Amino acid sequence: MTELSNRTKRPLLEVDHLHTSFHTFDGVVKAVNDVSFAMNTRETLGIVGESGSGKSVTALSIMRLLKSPPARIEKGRILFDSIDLLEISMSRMRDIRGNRISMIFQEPMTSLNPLFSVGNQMSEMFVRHQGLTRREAWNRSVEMLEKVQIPSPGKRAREFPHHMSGGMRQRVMIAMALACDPEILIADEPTTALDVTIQAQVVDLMMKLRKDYGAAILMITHDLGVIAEIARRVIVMYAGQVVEEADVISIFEEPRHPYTRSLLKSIPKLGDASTHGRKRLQEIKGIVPSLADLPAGCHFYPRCPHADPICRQGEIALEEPAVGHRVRCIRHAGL
Amino acid sequence: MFAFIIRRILQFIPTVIGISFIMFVLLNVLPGSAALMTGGKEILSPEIVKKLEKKWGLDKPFHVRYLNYMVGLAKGDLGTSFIRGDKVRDIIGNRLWPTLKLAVAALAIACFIGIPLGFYSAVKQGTWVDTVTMVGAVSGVSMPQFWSALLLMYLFSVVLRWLPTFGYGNGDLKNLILPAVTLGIGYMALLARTTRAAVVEVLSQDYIRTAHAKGLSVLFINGKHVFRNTMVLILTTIGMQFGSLMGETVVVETVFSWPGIGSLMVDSIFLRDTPVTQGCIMLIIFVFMSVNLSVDILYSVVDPRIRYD
Amino acid sequence: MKRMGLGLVVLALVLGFYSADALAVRNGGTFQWIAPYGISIDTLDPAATSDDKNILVILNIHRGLFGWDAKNSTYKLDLAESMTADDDGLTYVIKLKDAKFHNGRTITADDVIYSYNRLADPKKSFASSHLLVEIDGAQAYLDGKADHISGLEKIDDKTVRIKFRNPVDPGFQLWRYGTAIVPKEAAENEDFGSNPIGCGPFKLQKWTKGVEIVLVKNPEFYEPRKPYLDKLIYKIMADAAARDMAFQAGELDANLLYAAQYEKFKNDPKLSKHMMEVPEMFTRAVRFNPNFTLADGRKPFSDKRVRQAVNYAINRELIVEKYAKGKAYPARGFLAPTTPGFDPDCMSYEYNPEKAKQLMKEAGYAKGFDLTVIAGTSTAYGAGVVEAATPFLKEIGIKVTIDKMENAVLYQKYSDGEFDAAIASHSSGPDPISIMYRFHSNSPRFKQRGETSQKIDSFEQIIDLAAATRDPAMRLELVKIANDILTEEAVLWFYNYNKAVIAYQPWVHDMEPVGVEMMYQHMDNVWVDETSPRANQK
Repeated sequence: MTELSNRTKRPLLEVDHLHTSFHTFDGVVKAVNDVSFAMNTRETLGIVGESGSGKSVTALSIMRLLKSPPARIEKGRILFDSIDLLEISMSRMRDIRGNRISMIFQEPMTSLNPLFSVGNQMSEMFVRHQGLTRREAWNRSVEMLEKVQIPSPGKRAREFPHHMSGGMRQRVMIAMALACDPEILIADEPTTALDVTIQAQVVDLMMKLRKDYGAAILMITHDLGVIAEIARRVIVMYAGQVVEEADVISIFEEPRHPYTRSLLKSIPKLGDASTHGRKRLQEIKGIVPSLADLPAGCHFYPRCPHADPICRQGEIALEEPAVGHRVRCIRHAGL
Repeated sequence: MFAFIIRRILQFIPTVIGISFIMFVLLNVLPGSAALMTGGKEILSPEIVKKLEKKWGLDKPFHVRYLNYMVGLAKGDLGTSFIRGDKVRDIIGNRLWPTLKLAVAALAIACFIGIPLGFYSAVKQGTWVDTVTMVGAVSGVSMPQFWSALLLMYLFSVVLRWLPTFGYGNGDLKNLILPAVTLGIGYMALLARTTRAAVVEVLSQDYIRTAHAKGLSVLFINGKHVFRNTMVLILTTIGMQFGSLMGETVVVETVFSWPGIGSLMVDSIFLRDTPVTQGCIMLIIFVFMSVNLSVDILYSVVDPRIRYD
Repeated sequence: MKRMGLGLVVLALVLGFYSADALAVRNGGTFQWIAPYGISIDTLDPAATSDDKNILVILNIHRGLFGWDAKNSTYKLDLAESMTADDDGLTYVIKLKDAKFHNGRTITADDVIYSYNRLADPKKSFASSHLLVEIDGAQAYLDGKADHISGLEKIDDKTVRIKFRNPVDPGFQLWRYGTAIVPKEAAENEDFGSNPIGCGPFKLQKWTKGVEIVLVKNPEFYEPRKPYLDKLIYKIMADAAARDMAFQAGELDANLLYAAQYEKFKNDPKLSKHMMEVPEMFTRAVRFNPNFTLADGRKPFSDKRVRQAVNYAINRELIVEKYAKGKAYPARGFLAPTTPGFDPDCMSYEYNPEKAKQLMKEAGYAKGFDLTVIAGTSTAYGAGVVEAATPFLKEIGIKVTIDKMENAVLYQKYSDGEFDAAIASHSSGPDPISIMYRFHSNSPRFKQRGETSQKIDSFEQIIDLAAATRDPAMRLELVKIANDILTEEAVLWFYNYNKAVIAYQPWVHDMEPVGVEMMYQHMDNVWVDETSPRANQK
């Protein structure tokens, strides 16, 4: 498999002991707490977790899109093509954004500026990163709209976001993200806000485009169904930490962390609308602990069905019981 | 769009009729008499008062006077001033241009300083620049015009002798500066605060994050995406301010002896020179409605979501 | 026929004054002056207004048969060359000076007759028309019962005969600027108020409404050498603080001061050198309504002792000093110190709360009563003054409520007699007899609402006698007595006389304090020396 052979090379993106916190009046919220993972060229990596697990903050940290203050990246490195994204100047970062790493967001309804035409907003990418003239950029934008299967793209380009449906806008966002042929596409819950049938279409589109463009995709979602469909490797995050990492088959076949197991217990069949969304995550008893006041030891301890006093003693390390399968649970072997 | 403008202009008519009626009733029940005011400090004898009132048609019943006024208005005749004896149209006509000039200059100062200041402050949110600007803006709003006028006058006219203390001159720019700045300060502060609030709001929008994710420069994002989105709110403020500006120039006009509508209106109210008061109110209503209409039209230019069919 | 002595004396005085200064005066220059009352000048038609804000400009454009002599506080001959009285004491023959209107036409007797008939024209209802009522037949014309004033007669081109209905002093009737002589060819125009043509020392050059009025020298003015100034600009400036700034910046050649500035100027040794002050003929006073009735049916102000008690109870000197910041003269009675006939030794009320209480007790009001005083917005004679007086009145049991209102409302209520007590500024000059006549039961004002609590017979006898007396000195003696009677009767609470103050730049010469109204400045007397920044400005 390509992914396996690539692992021997230097990864495309390497997140190394990332700590990101928010300094608020209520104290320091450790949103991302020592997260490390790597991603190879053309790889599709999924990150799953509940709201507040730190997955979006991780993505925004990579893009350096967090507003500071209150956010602060305390420690760690983010290596992209041997460049530490946390060390370079903001203007160099802006050269990378949208060009080599691009990102799409959860809310297609609000992610486009309502006052400019879709074509105008797409053209900005080409003008900014490829130095095209406005006319050339416009033509390229129309081509991109065609690629994301928007009918009569020439006409659509002149339209404004409010003329379009949510699915259509998300296609526009995808088209925009892929405009400059990036090496990494970070997709932060790209389907969450969409209708179920549209979700499927968007996922299909992304899979197709991945093949055409060859971009590595960092898919962030709480939807295990999406993960199953698109990702090769999966990271499960809980309370700002990576709790389990494995290839997608291992995660679904032999999950090792109690949290992953709880998640999987409630997995629906793809397209089963009635149990979709956040509802099934609520089946895990208790709530996500406050990131400003984390319990000592295992952060999942208060909600874990296998909790044991030993779990509360000291930091829990990320172990690698099988090759490429990492887990943060001291009792995983005995479960 | 054209149909919309025509429709809106037609809507002016019932508004004018309604307001003129209310105005007429209010000015009618106001105690006091213009005739008595012509005497200055002397209390005129009842015979003279009666004669003057007859001359001005004040002896006729209310509905007759109202009808006469409305018929005149329809013909574009605003009547004749009781006390000055001149046509109201001429009296107001003389003062319209100075007032407009003052209001536009004040608004221009407010816009060219207030908007960038508010913008800068919002972008530098939470820094000392922001704090200083906003403290300045609050003091600007709360400083009485009378006071700021005298301070400016003292500094620039008495101490530095750069600018004339008062008057319209021959419409010279140097005469316009101090009154316009005085009037502009309050609106500048208001506009700075409105802009700041609007920019802070827009900055937190998802599409701004998208713009950053696209790798666009801060300058470009602020200049294009943020600015255009704050325009609607800023335009609303400007539109409303301009309307009220016309009626709020009285203090500045009095202090700087500026021959505008505001002081004319207040003066005519005190003198009970009703035709002049009515003319001023009509003019202000007209300006107000026109500005509102222009703002509405501008909305649709700025924001494609707003369409008038 | 007998020559009027007074007119000659005045003329001599005036001429003497001119010759004494003739060596020093300098011609030329521009004078920046102010129109401080209100935001606009409404009209320059002398007939159409009796408002001082217009008159202060009008009097430098227009002239009448008589004018005001500020120095001697009496009228003087102006367009009239001479005046001779017939033996009946009612008819006067007036000869005109050689004078021209601004349009170059010579003034004749026809112009006098035209101007007076125009002023009294019932169809025009001019605000100043009442100035003529003493001329025989003017009232009939005003009332529409005649088609002209019968008491005017042309003798020749330069001479008119005027007949009065009562034996009055013509000068006191006709010095007012509303009776100015205007040319028919201009005055018949609709826009005469905006494009006036007169015969005064200055003519209108440019009027920017609401901004300024520019007057230029009338080179054909009938008084030789005058006016000295080439140009006179009235800046319309209603705001006292702004005027002060402009004066300090040297943009104004003179300024009318308000109480706040008066203190500063008075205490500054440099500024106070170029300042003049005068008691104006305005008596600020509270008027008592005799019909004011208490719940038990008693009418306190119909009792002289109550009115006297009020006059004793209030420390007017203290209020003038503290509240008015010294910019007023405590009143000693109705007539002002500049009014002819004012007696420096007249009786007056001192501050004596014990006596006040005693009087209240005698009148049967030992417990006092509640009183509402209506007051306008003026700081000099409005609600603030009543507020300052309130604690003093409380001492004698009168509990005051102040009903503050806008001037237009106050005037209306005042005119309709709808008040228990009201504070206002009362004209108290310049003709003592006609101004005091308002307290006479025959006056229209008295008939309308009753100016005093009751008919004061002694006062009426004296004032009637004064009016009929033709010896000036004797007249003034009678005036003094009449004024003392009004004081003794306490017809008003006498508060103060306005102290009008003008500050002028060091280069300004020969401005005069004018008691009848400080802003009635005859600018033909004024000149500026070389040090004026506008000394050579045309």
